[in-house]
Amino acid sequence: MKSTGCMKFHFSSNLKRVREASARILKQLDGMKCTQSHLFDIRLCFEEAFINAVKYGNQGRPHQEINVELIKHPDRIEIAVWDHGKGFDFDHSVDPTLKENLNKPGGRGVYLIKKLMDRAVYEKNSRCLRMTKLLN
Amino acid sequence: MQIKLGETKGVTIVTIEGEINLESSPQLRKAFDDLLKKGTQKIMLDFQKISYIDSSGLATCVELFQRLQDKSGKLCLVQLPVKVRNVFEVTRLDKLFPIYNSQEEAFVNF
Repeated sequence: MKSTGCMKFHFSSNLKRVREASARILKQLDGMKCTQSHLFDIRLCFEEAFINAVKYGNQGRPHQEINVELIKHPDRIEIAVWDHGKGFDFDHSVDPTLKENLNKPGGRGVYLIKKLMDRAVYEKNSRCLRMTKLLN
Repeated sequence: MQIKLGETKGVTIVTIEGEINLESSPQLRKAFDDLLKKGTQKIMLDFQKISYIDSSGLATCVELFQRLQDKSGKLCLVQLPVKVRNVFEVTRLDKLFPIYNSQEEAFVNF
């Protein structure tokens, strides 16, 4: 299905900007057939991806940008987040739902992205996390 | 985020309003620190007015759970909005924390 718009954003690597960044992304979804449930999941997954990109990708280096691409389709939203880090093993990240991990505080960001998005792929060569949310 | 404290039947009820996220988690952690320093052992988190929680908010809750467990204390969560409850269910934290639909239901099981 043909896309109805592609937008690119550039954010500084600053954890204090995460809410501002997600607000800018969500604002672009006005007028689409997103439910509150869709918007909750998209915001949560985008913020988790942004936080990971700042903390672990760019490792807090403020001069390195977080680049974001938003593609709007009639039936889905695609969001890609790039950082300048070394990349990580997205497919083999720790499963926080295992019994031995359940009472550990951290490690749920990537898992939430995998579960709440309909598709999430990490392109290690370009250090890009691509996430898709279906609007059906 | 706003935090209100109350006590009923020997249980400290922490009512939280707003979002539990990377920005607000330190404020919540500080409130939990203060309660634990006072020797509080039974805590009920009322999430009725929580509109959003992220992984740092989940981490803050798990930390509290661990610290209470170390002191033989108890923690439960009540009145989670549907989407917030879904975050706990997806991460299976509903298997770690007792979650109840109402404060009354929680008191029966505390």
